[in-house]
Amino acid sequence: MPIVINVDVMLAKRKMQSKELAERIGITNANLSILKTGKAKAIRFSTLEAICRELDCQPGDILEYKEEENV
Amino acid sequence: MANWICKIGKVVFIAVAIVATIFIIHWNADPGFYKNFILESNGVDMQYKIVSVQEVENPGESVMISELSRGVVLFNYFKFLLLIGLSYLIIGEAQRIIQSIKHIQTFRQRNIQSFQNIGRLLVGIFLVDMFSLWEWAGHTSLQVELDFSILIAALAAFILAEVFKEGNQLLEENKLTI
Repeated sequence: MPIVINVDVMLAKRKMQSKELAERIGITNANLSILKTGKAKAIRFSTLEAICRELDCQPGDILEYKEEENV
Repeated sequence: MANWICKIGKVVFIAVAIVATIFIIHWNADPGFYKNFILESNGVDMQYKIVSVQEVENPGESVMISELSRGVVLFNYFKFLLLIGLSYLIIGEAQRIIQSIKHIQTFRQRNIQSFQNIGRLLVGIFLVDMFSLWEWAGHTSLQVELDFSILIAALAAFILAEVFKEGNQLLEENKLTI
């Protein structure tokens, strides 16, 4: 998928565990895992806002667009 | 409420099937028992009613039940059983759908299959109900009758299957929306 989720990078920078972030933003660990592994189909603005608030970052730090290479 | 109607319907179908079977067995064993009963047609279409010998209105349009041929009776008995069986299965599928809606699993995959099964069973009923075999005034008649209302109901079931398929896709997408 062209949209890459860099939550792991921000978690490492802020020295925070996934479980702690999931609790703070009010989603389950399983849902956060779906987000981190790129299996999510969509993300709500409310969730994105909560992630940015807890990780003190911008949406661009979490979301990255990488064009797919055509083989 | 709907679940109770399905349960009552199932019980009624089973009871009717048992009564029909008992009638067939008894008629086979003792046809003379029914010598006072006549199968009477209304003379217009294939509508019949059982009346006693004293109540018959159209003697030319009636046949004594004790004198019906075994082949005709068995044909109609098995046709009736088949219709009851298919209707029973439809009620079963409807019950599954109702139960899933009660448990807030409305758009699960199984419900799509249930609607498709209901559609196929209705097509089956249409095909079985198409043929009628009766004997009348010394001759046997095979009638082919097309009841398109059953086919329209089958079409409605297939359309609902497609609607639920779409609902299932939206549900899956929603599960993957964080």
